[in-house]
Amino acid sequence: MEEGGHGRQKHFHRADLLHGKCEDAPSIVEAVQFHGVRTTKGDALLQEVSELYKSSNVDELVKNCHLAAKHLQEVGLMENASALIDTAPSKNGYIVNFVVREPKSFTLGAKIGMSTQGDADMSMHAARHSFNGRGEVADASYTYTVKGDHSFNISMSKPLLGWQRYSGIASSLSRSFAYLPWNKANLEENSLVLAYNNNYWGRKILQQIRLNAIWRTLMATKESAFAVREHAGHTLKVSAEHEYSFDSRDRPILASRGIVVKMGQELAGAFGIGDAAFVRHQLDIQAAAPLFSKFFLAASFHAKRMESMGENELHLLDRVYLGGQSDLRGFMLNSIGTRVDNSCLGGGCAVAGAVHLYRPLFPADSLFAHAFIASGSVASVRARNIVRDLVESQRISVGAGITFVFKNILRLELNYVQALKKTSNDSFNRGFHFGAGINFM
Amino acid sequence: MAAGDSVLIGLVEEALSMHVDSEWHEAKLYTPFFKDQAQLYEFADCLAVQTFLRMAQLPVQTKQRPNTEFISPTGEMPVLQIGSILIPGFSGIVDLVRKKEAGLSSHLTEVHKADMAAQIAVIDNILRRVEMYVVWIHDETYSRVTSTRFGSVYKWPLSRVLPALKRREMREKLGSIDWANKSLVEVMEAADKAFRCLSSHLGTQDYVMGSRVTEVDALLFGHLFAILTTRLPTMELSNALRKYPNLVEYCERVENEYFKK
Repeated sequence: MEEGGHGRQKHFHRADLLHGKCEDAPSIVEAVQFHGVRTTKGDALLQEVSELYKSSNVDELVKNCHLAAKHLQEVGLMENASALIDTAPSKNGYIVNFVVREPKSFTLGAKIGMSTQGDADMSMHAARHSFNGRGEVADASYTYTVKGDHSFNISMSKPLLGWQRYSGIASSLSRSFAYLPWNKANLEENSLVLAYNNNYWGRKILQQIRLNAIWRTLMATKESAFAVREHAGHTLKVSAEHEYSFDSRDRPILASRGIVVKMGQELAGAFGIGDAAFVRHQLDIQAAAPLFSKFFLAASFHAKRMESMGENELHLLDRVYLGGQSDLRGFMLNSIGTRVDNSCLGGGCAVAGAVHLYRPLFPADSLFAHAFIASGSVASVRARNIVRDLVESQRISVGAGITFVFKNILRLELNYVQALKKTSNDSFNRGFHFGAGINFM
Repeated sequence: MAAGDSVLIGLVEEALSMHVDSEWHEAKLYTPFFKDQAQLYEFADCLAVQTFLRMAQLPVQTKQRPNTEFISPTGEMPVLQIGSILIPGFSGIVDLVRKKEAGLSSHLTEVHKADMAAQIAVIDNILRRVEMYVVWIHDETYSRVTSTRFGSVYKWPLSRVLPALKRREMREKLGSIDWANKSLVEVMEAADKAFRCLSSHLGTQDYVMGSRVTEVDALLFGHLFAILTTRLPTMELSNALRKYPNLVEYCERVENEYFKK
């Protein structure tokens, strides 16, 4: 942010030169000018900056110009935006100039890759940013595997513009294929999702609402247990999801201080629409705090409950699963709970907790020494007494290793893991385990 | 070497030939819903298996499920479950029972067995295809009966989408054996040929292979009963069957013997 000077040869200075010193200097914004706009619509820009005209003194004007420029970038309207404040000929008059660069309107990519299961695939990706000049993003990708599966994802999102408004709507249409190792079955999904998100209280509380319509086809394989096979076939899930989250962490993937609380509900099969009929309640809490000499402690808690609302038992795909490198480390992914012939049948309720001790290594913000103890249990879908079921089937694993965080987008963990409590039927391997992902307990 | 082989074969055969009494525990037969879901040929095959097991005096518990096609490892219906083993389709089930030395055709000579196989082939390769054609290709039957029945176990919009997808699949399947583009007249000629062949083989005998029931009786009864009792927009198939009174009478006789006693 810079403050303008007089004369033909203009010299702009950094905003902190006068920020906080001009509360008494009145200001009148005479004009807001944009430089570098080609496709962005005028009404969108007006919504973004109209609040600037309400600035009553120079200090407020400087602050608001900064917020406006930041907001333009964060909602995706601009790739780059900086505000230059110039004086106008009239008394106390100012002109605000935004020097902006619009996002590239079209990006295209293609790649050939190899999946973890050894299938080659080919994918194409295309995206248009701000295609209608109001920050809308359209994104399409298509993947074709050698096995002959086609999958695609078409999504569109649109920010709801306005002064410091962080809110938006999105929709996506997709088709995907996956092998579920815990069920030993294949899943094909065709889904339509509509989403709305909004922020409150200085962006500390995020609200998300989603409407899902998902056509799922579960296909048993030769290895599938009969209990999995019984659920095979087509089902339709139509659901509404709602989630509130509060986040005060210092970093999103591995926080050293702060707390995040997420609370969500999902209702499927209301008014008899679709086959899946259940209510889901979910609570996730994570907290972190510094300890003595660089060490910091983190704790997580997760609870999820699915209640069948129909006459039928909860469908295999709607059940609760637990286990894997991101929650109960050392156990095979989603393997905890009722098991038949090496397939996991999931449960109706799960509770898990973990406590971690971290110490930064070098580089301090991305490599950490790490020790943890994690515990969790899953209650069967037919459990009569859920609390007793949870207490009786508790699993505990402990371990130590290193954690690497890559630019707040990916977390990698390598741990030596040992089970303190497991059942004979569990799929647990003592030894080194590698985990990669975003959401870790 | 040869002696060793025969010992090995003997061991394998012994392992395979489980005694029916001790192994036939809690057998379950998975079928689609007879009343609202099963298509003509699926009903026929399920009935054939039920009849076969009754003839072999093997108890089975029938379970009607909306997703039997997906429970089946091959998509064939019905599916027999014994312990952890799943056996789909009429011929698979007959083979299994034969391996367990409880089959219905062990008294037949090789020549008669070949004769029986020919009768089964007529039902498998002509009659079942005729039924599939009427169910999936004949427009009026598809729109008034098949699509509703196939979609009956799904909610909208799957109840509309899935029958159309299945119809496309069945068109391709029948197309690959040159049946999809036949006219109804041609198909009814094929049906008449099959009925004539089966009727002349049966003649005045009690059962297809003489005085004792064999698996071909179960299969034939299943299909004849299904054709005679299923109401379809086109009655040409059941009318073609009614031209052969010995088949109709045979069907009534088997029904009385195995389902009304």
